[in-house]
Amino acid sequence: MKSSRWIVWTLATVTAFVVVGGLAGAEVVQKGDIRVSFNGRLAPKSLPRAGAVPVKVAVGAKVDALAESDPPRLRRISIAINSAGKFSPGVLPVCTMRDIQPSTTRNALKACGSSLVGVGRFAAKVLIPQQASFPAEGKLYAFNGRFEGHPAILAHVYGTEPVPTSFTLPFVMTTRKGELGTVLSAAVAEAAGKGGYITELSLELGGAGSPYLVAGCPAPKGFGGATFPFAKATFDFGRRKVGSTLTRNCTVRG
Amino acid sequence: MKRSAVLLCLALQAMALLASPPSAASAAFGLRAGSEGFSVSAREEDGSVDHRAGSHPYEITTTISLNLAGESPGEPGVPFSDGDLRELRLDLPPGLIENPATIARCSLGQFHSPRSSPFEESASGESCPEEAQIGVATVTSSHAGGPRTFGVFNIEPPPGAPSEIGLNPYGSPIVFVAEVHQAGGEYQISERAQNIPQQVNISGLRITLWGAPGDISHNFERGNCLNELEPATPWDNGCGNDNPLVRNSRRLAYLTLPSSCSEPVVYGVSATSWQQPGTVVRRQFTRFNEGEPIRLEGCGALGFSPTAEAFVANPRASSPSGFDFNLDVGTDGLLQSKSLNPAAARQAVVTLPEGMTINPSVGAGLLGCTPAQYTAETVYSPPGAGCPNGSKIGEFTVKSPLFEKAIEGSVFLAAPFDNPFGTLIGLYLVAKSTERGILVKVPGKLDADPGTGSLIATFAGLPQLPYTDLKIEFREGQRSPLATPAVCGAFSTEVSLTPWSDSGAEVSASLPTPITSGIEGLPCPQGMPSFNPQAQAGSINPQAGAYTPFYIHLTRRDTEQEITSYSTVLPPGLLGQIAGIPYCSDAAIESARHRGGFEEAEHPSCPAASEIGRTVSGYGVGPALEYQPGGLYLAGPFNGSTFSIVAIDSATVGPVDLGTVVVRSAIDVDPQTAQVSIDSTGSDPIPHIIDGIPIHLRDIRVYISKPHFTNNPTSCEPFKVRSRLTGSGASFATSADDTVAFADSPYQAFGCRSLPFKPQLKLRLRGGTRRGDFPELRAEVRPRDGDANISSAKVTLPASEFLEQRHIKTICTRTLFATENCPAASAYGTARAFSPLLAQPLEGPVYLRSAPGRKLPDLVADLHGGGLGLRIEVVGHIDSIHGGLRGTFESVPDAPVSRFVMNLKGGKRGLLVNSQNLCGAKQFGDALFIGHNNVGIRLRPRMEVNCKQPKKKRQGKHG
Repeated sequence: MKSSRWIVWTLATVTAFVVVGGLAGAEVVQKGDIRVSFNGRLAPKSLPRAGAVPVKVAVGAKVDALAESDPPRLRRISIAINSAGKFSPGVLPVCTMRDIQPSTTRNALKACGSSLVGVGRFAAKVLIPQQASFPAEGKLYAFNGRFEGHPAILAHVYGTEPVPTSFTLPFVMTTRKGELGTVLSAAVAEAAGKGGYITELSLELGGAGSPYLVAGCPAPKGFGGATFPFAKATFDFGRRKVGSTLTRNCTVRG
Repeated sequence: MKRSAVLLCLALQAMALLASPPSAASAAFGLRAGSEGFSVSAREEDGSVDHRAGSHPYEITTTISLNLAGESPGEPGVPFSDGDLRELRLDLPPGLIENPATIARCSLGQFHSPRSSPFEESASGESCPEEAQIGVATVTSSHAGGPRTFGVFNIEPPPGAPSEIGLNPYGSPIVFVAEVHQAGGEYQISERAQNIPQQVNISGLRITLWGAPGDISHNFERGNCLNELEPATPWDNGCGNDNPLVRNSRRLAYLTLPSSCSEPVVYGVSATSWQQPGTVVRRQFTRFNEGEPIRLEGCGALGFSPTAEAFVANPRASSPSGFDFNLDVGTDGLLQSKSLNPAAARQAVVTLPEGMTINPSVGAGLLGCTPAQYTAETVYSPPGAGCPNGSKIGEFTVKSPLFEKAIEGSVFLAAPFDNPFGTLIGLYLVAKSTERGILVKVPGKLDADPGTGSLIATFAGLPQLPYTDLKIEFREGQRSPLATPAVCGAFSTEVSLTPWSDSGAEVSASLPTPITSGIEGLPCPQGMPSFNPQAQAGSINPQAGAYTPFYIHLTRRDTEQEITSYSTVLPPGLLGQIAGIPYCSDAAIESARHRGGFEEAEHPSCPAASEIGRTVSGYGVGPALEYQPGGLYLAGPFNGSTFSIVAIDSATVGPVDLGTVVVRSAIDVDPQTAQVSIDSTGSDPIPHIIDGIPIHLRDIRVYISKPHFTNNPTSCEPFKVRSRLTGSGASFATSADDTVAFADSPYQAFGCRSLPFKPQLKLRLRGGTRRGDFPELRAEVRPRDGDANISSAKVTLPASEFLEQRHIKTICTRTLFATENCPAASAYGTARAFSPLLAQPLEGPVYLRSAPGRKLPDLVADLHGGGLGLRIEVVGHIDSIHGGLRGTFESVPDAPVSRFVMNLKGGKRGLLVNSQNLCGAKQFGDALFIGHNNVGIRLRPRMEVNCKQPKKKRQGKHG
């Protein structure tokens, strides 16, 4: 039960980042000249009170630089998740960085297709010294894996414009005490390199009956649904951090 | 009857003298002491001494008396000279004129026919007409027991003599032949009598020449009227004013005193005897009665109004031209016996029109006349025996009333610096009349303004002779020695004349010598000359990629500005094989700058091995130029460039050695295109005037002709050779008004399609082969010898290789790259290029350099060296195609390369990262090479990878 709750909250947190139909209704946090729009979606919303069922979540974020300057460089994404959520990395084969980094998408799927836990897209501005920045975007594939001894979600990115390149964001899962005890953390700067400035990231995880992500609705008895703080997202831009606690709700199935 | 008896007696005496041996010689032959032995006096009609310069004296009397040796045996009381006079020479003062043209001549027949006088029996052996008599001579000899007076006549001169006078005492003719010669720079007449008959036995001679022989006062001494024994008591019968022979109407002057008062008047005499012909007795007469030196007076009163004329033979601007200068001192005063003869011009200074300069075209075949050759110019020297014919640059003519015909001759160019003035340009005026034995030689100097080239001719020592036309004509035609000004205008020739009279009465005149038209029917140039030089350039062999001599031919028109600097940009791909050619050292070049042109031509300063071609420079104006060959050499760093070329020309115009023209030009090689160019800002200027002689450089031909040196491009695109020339503007002296003109010449090689093109490419990855490893890349291109050069290359790596952007940390900016200050961290590899043109490879780092307008920086091989300090950039743009990392080298210089190797670092600074294990499937790259001949080739080289596992050490067998 505890495990399923953990997954629920994890999913709830990730859902907060889902970008659905743009950012209408997104959580927008501005600090200085940095504005981050967080969004998320959970499907289905109707969940059992007891136990957990596979869910599909979509998360997304968009970073804007308000000043006419280079975009802020995102160094680390840290998401503290409600401990009621349930994430089961053990149900899938483990993919390692060595298997997919670097590689084309095709080769990554060839190597770790059985560990696939989601897909997404990314957008970034590439800044190379003495060069004008240019946008880069591409598809993102998330694999169940391990990184530095911890369970992780390896978000693999591959692009061919202007040149073939790939990077993988390893969202390391760690636990700690407290309500938001499960933390997904990715060192963006190390993965994307000095010149990579992520401007958008979206990821759709789970679904299709996969036991990797399961959740139930933690509504107390007598209540048909619940509203709960399921995650606190923090974007570390070095000079400043932008964070927001996302609150979502669910209804009790049946 | 009486006369016949006298003649018979004389004849017998003569026979006796001829039959008997000469009287014994005496060592005492000579002139008596003092004025008794030799004196000369010019007197007016009243008997007073005539001291007036330029006057026509009434008479000039010369008296000589020889030492006496006692009485003749058998003739007591008759004095005998100590030695028999054989030769007598009377030297008149310079400027003293005897004008035989005013007097009738006695023919030789008349001179040798004994006189038959109606008044007495004459002892004179002549029967000359009275009109030919110019004076009387009193002969003291053993004949007739005392002095006897005879007529002196103007005789028909023999060929080679200007004039001849003579007397024929006792039938023994004494003939004085005039000689005109220079003494101390002045002209002087000498009267020389040779082989005076010994039987006359002269002990004294007194010759009186009449200033105006036609004067009636001489009638009583004229012809038969002369009382030979007592001339003071003339025969009065029919003589005097009633004499029908009186010629009052012809009182023209025969004698004229000099017009110079500066120097004492000096008469000279020299004599030899039959007994001691080698012993010459000389005497000068300079003062009367040991008094003050004889000086002429009244020079200030002499007229000096010569007329001068100057003509530019070709009044077109910037054209070869002759130049005529005429001087007329007038002769009216010479002939009128009651007038003073005006002074003759001693010095003429002629300043030619501004802009009229020496024409170097004159140099072809021109020689210089040495002092020895000038000295060898005599009256009778044939053409070329003195000054060589090749040194003749004009005509020199003197017309004098003293002679019937003009004295004609030449203007010679004196040997530079080896002339009386020690100047670069000297002239010799030499005129002669072999018919009259006249030789006139006048040296002159020509000073050229070192800044403008304007010319000043100075002739000091013009003949102190009367002339109606002294003409100096510099020859006309294509090789005229002078060039007219560059523009039209009312130019003038300034003349300054100084008289012999030393009165200080210098006369100046400004003579119009306009330039009135342009050349070749073109409009008259005005103001700033135009500057539209033309250029032709090309390869002798147009085959693409082949060895060829290459030439550049630059020309300008005469009326255009002088060329002062030159630069050019050669077509891309036209390159020289520098390998193996040594530089001409700086020391050798510096030496050449200070050498003479002839010396340089004989022994070039630069070693032959450094010669890459030759030059031919055409100097001058008009259709015929003076062409001078020169050498073109490879040289070292110069004015910021890493190497240079130097053209060394001998600047010689005929015998005139102006030294050398050394023009060293910095060579630039464009780093992007390898185009060779000469930048005038890094080059020596082309001199336009040397030692006052504008060289009028009009035709520049540069031949880069060293065998197997120059190679054509392998591109057959139409190019052009662009030349940039600087013109001198309106003035040589300043660069402020210089103008610039461009002259393009189309250039195109042919036969590109026949050039093969099949380069080879090897790709190799070294280092880690696993995914995520950062391998080192080695790409090696090997074009074949004789192929077209690579124009562009697109090399795509296998999809296994990604760009590792995280390793792109430092980029070199274009500014830093241009100044060769790229940070070391921006170097991500190295490259080397080997070219058969260069002795050493080009090599250097491979930088990532900022590329504005592109997403990724460029990969730039910054190549240096080649043995020349060259810098060549090979720029590749980075992108991808079909998932493969691609480098596109769009513009590779059209230069032969035998091997090009690029190494990109691996490891932590590697730009590449393996996206898969390289030891799996074989990896292939893709390459598209396009030749400069527009032929393409696609290659699919296998990416070489070392997948062999390191061999394990064998275990040693024990036991």
